Amino acid sequence: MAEVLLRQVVKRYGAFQAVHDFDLDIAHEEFVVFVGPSGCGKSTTLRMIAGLEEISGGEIQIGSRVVNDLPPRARNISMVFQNYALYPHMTVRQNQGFGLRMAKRPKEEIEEKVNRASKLLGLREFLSRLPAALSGGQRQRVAMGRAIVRNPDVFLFDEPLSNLDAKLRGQMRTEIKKLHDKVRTTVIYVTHDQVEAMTLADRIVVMRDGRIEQVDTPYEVFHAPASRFVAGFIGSPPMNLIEARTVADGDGISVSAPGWPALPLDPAIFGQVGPDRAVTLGLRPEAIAPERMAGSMARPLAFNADITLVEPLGGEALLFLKMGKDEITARIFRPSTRLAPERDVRFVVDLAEMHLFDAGTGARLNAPRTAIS
Amino acid sequence: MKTMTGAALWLVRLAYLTFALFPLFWLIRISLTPDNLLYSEGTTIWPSSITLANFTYVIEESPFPVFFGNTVIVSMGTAVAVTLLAAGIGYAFSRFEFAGKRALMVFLVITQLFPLVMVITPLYQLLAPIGLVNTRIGLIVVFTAFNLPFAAFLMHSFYEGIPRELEQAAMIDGCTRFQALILIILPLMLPGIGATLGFVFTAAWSELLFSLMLITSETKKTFAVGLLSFVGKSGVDWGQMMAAATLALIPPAIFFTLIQKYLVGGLTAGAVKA
Repeated sequence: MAEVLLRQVVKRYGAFQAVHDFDLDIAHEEFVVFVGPSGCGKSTTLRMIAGLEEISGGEIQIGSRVVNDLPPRARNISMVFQNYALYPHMTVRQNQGFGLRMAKRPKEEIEEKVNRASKLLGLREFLSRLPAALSGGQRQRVAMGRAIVRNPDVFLFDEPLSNLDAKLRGQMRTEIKKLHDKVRTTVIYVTHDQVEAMTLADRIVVMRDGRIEQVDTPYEVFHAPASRFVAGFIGSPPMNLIEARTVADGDGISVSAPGWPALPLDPAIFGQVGPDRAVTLGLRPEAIAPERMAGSMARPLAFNADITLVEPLGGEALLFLKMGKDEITARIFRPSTRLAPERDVRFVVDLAEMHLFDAGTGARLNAPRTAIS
Repeated sequence: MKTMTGAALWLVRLAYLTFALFPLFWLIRISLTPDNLLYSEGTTIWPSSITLANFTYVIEESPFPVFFGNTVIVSMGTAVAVTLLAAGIGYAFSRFEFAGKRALMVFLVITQLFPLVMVITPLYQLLAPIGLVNTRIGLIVVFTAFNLPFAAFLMHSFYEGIPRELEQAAMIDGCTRFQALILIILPLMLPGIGATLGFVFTAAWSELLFSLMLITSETKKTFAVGLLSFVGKSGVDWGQMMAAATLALIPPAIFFTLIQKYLVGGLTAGAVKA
């Protein structure tokens, strides 16, 4: 059993605090992804778990053992680096077997484990080559093979796909996912790419400025972002975020934003939101569509807008609308007709997909999803 | 067009080689010229007859074999000492953060600013009481001190060329920091070690100033000092001097042949994505 527990973990560099009171329980065999913009502390946190950075405060446990003061070699972890970090003077076989040789395992065992990992990763024909004679994708595989062979408690990945081109990145992403299904081990994976986070993770940890913004499943992070930051970071194209105010509207309350019609709030979801409050309105591009090609919506509300730009992407298209001074993105799946910039088009927005955040703190104002039924 | 550029390039290379190697050619030419032809034939490109008499004299009758031996000991000793120390200093500068690191690096640069002539007297006064004047060890100590700063910076830049992730990967794979240094970094540092050895060996091999000042006895002289003994009261014995100088070129040539394969870079290729 190798769960990883982080308790109030802190990292300081002189006066600068890179990681603030990081608390997280990672379950045995769980695939957890740390995601966030560069400088958010995700790599630092990973490197503290690896033992490559000292921790300035708090406690880290791997498999119920406190590892705060253990050197990396004593933590029984493997790490895949962004730049692969293959030993250039060793063949693929020697690279993969290095950890086992250091552990003084018998030759036959090393041979057998290296062969098994190489088979799994399709590296068998390259075993005698030096890293210099391999392509980027192959080097990436060798780095993963080196990690697997040691049969560690925890796999750590530090932006492993960032140096690959887009096509290869997609392929390797799928391979990592398949690999985790075959080699069940706890995985902590750092990336700035929210697509990698969404596709790979059992749980996503969204970080910002050294703090955790949200820890949840990819589904929850996407559908119920805990803050305006998470809402804007997860999802591509990003959620439309519009500065707005709540106003009393007959019996209920609606949201008023320049250029938009009044958007009535569902009291079941926004019961605790009072009138006359500065809020940020969040609408995913998928929740907005021209009326003539809109699918079924739970709570449609019609409005008119000008299409200023169309980006056709084949199976889908992005429409850019001018609403007040904001530019709003709408995402249309399988557009049925040719789309072009056009004035005064009838649109619908699904109010059931509305997110509200406090304009000051950025905190989510929607009632928790479990409370709605 | 392509062959034209190629030919032009070769012409430039040839011109450079001629320019660089001509003094060497002249050295060998004079060492092979019989004494009686040296002045009578003037500056013809090749003398009408050649002789090995200068070489036999230098090897068999002059004290030069002893000078060579001294120089080999001093140069090798210096090269090894400097390289070992610089390997440690360069590693510390490259991989560790410690208080006063920047100040120390600046200080090392400052030591390079003083003209050597300035420090000869104080150095002599320092070495004399501890019995290091007129010893080969004394020379090794002095050469090591003076070559160390540059060598440390040279090593530092080679370490900087090796990604830190390699050591980190090794430490995760079960190495201590020292094992990572020996098993992973050292093999990749061979070009740096080769370059440092070569640089320091050559510098020590041809050093004249300190050898002249610190060595007095005939049996401990290095060859650079020894060369001066061909300058006599009645004139300079050019043939023997050039023969000795030609022989003095052999050890550095052998040394560079031995280390040249490590001087070729590109050994780290493939470790990380460029």
